[in-house]
Amino acid sequence: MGRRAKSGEEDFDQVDAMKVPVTLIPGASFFHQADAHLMSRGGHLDVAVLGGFQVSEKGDLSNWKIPGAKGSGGIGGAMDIAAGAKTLIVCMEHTTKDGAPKIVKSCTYPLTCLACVDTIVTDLAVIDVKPEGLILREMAHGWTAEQVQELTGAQLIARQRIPEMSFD
Amino acid sequence: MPGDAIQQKVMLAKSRLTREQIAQRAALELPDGAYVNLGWGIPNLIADYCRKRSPFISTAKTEFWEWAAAQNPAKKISIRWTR
Repeated sequence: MGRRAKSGEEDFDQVDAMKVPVTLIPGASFFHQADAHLMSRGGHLDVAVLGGFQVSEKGDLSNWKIPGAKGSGGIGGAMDIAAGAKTLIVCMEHTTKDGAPKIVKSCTYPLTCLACVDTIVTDLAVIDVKPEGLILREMAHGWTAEQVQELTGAQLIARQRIPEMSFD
Repeated sequence: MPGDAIQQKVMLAKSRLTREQIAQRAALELPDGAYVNLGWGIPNLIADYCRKRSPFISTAKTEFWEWAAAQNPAKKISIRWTR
């Protein structure tokens, strides 16, 4: 699919995962939900990008339920997608609204999938999950590794000078 | 206002990415031609940033609308299967 639809070109039969109208690019196709599940369960997805509530240092992901929070708690296809995709990227804020780390030693929220996350992209850093631990790959402008570490609940490994986040 | 400029500089010196910027950065992680699934939340913004690289993107999570409908019975949100 293409970008989001501008005002006036919306077609509500063409919406994304959040029901926002989108455009189609040449070659776009529609398929049945059963086929979509087959793609994720059958290991045919190259990359999945999911949101996250917590990611552990081992790459465990919690992204479907915050205990006690009103209105959260539909796992959807996340479990299948997280387990089935060859590469899993998690996009989330580095901390909660209260400032608590979302990258933690071990997840305290209900799990989506164990040891599934490959890369975490947050508003502060890009972090790779490797067998040896969490590798700090890039940081947002103006931040130091120590400052990012302070807002992280697990040990980050900063091997060399960490480059600034690039956007192109 | 001179104060504003200083304030802006301080913010620029150490700022957090917006949700759009997170999506923009994550889009760079997608290889060309990959079959990609985008979840809801920040990942949903990624499609806006990867047109040039044209990966194949499928969307998911219509279950969200079942959940939304369950949360707002009064609003009668209709569930539409969209994959």
